[in-house]
Amino acid sequence: MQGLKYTVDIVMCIDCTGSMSGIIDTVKSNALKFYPDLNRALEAKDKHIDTLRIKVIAYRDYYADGDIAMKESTFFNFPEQQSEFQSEVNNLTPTGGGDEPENGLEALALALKSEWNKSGDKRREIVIIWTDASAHPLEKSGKPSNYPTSLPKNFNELSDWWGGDQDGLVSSLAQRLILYAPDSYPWSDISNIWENVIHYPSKASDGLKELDYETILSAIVKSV
Amino acid sequence: MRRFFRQLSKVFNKLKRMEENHKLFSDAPLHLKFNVEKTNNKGEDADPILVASSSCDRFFIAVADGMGGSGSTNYEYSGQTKTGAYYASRTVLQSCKEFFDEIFTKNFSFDTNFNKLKPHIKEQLTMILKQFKFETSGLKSKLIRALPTTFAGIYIEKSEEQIRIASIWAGDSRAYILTANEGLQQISIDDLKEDLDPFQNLQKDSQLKNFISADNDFIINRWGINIQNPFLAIVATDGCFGYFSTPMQFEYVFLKSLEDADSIEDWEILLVENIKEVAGDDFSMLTLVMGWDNDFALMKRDFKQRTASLYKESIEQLEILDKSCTQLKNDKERIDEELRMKQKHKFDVQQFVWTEYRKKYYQIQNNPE
Repeated sequence: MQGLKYTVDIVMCIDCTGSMSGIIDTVKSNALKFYPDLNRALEAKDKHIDTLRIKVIAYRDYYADGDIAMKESTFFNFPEQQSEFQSEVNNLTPTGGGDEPENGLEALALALKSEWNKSGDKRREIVIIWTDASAHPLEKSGKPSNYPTSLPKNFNELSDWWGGDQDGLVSSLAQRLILYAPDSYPWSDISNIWENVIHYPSKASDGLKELDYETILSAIVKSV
Repeated sequence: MRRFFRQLSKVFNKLKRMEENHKLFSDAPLHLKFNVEKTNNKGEDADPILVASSSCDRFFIAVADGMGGSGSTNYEYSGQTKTGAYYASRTVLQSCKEFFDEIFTKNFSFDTNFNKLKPHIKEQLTMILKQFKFETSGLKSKLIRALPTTFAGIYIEKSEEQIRIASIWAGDSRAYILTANEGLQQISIDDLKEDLDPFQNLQKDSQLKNFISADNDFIINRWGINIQNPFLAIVATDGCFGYFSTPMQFEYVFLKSLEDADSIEDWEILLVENIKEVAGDDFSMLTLVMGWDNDFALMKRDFKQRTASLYKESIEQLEILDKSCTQLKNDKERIDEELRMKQKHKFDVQQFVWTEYRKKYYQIQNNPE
């Protein structure tokens, strides 16, 4: 008798503004080791994933960085496209951003409307954000011409995207959000209000203890 | 070799059961009980419990499933380090055992004492949490809880006129009644955030809106029914039923294992083997046989018709569809591979033809005047 099929999609949103220069290598290393670590944790629990994909969103600031403000990769199939994923991450360069805050909420919104894998019986849709900065409010005026028109108008609408189970968006049943972000707007609001969020208040995972990292992996693996 | 181990396991189970029954009472109802870890020494389900009154007219059975995702914090206690989920399931079942031991021994009413169960569980969880050594986490999350677990139990009270049953639960561990006429009936309602039935939830996997933990309030649900003998009372964690494609397949595996067994020990071994084939998690169950004069053969005979009709009405067509989907998937993979090979061959031929063709194509360029 056949069992159920599992699919896991992960979207990594990485702040690539100039202020990340000092910690970008740590973030890249964390992003690159996430798959092997997750795999190890899955194997330790004897859990088998049928399809696992990862994509990368490198974000900066639409108000300061023009065309390099947001770069979204396609999903890489694992383990087949692991080397393409590694190249994508290794090529990330910290630059621009102007003053804090950055466009972290826009990156999160784009992550939520990713082309999630809807096949399989059970799914997990995971978004991870690494940033050292607060984020612009979505309702900020004076948007530049390259600012996407399909994004939520404000934080409440983004919250509906997270919790509302709307077509074309992340599933409220499958979702997990992992924040390596300072305890500032909007990250602290998100971890206080939204469901299914794990927040490590820091500058982009700086000082993350092994214990907490294992807790994050366990929260994902054991919910699969 | 497999047959040898099965025989060995049967003997071991029989001895274990005799020892347990001796401790309980001399006239124990037949029961099967297991707690299978997905990974050795990492199991977060507790061993199911069976508590019985000395006069064998009241019983309580229960399972608990420590929630590994929410309860992954490691705690050190009595020299061993285990997750909060591990300690939670065991603490809750130990609390239930103490509670029912007391009401059975002192002949207290379950109904009037039921509301004392939750405070007793909460007190035990709080007390054990205070004794733990653990490293403080820097994480902020509503997902991470102190000592989270689900549990489900069935209280059974026999009188001359009737049998009264109360299912009690928190979370998505389940209580069932199985009869030869009606089949499997769930007598607990999964505490899901989304409004999903058991079949829908197999696909969507809703989160829980209620479960036991040391740092959050919870509800112990209760539901009572009257029933006639004979029946099976079943409590099971989600590892038992949550990895089959449909609820019907869970019942069928349960009954087919019974049909193929020649004793309750054999049934237990077969059922574990069959669930293990699909389970992606720890799984534990306790099934109490009520009626059939404790005669396994009589019970098995009584379920024969139900097993056959369940297969005819539900399982057969699902198996046919399963097979044809697998066949189509294999065909698709084969055709994809053939296409890939054909495309590669086409490119190789294009390259070869072009190599020949280009000799004339570049003739003027390669021989300028």
